[in-house]
Amino acid sequence: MKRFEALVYAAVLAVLSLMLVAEGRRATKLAAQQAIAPKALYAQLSNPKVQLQVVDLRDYDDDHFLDAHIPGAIPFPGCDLSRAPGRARDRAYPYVATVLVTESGDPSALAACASHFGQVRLLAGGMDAWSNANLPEDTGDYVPPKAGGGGGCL
Amino acid sequence: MSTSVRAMFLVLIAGMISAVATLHVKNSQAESQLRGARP
Repeated sequence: MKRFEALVYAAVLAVLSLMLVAEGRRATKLAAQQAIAPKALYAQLSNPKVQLQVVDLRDYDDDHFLDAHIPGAIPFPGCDLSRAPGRARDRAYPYVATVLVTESGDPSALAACASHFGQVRLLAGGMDAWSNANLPEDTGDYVPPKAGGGGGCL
Repeated sequence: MSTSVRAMFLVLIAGMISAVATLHVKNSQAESQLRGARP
């Protein structure tokens, strides 16, 4: 009887452990889908060990990308390759963790770009929030990173 | 099985149930937030 009781306790603990692991995995998966705050993105971009690409979905014109963009951001207006400038067309990689930048963090961008990128998150509040947080910005044309120049862009 | 061992098991089980429940609620909230953000 005592042995049976111990087995029941052990079985319950085993089941609970499995449930805990499953919920932990779910939490990790969900965290990867949540919008990322500007300061958190800045912290990640400042860390050369983190592989991350920033894709700017705003129009490539004087009022949007050319006026101000996150340093290193790849222009990809509306996730439409034909609207991207020539130098940027082969720069957005589908298998790299990606943060999408819109004007104000419009979540419909995720649906529009779901087929282009595997692991994708949205910048919470978009470029407006990045600017309001006084984080570094670049202006002008997109300049592809130089070969061997290192991963950091800030 | 001694009372102290039984109590230890029960405390462990209660703690794990609490942890699973907390994580489950957090995950469900995050999931519904994401669903709301994706029309």
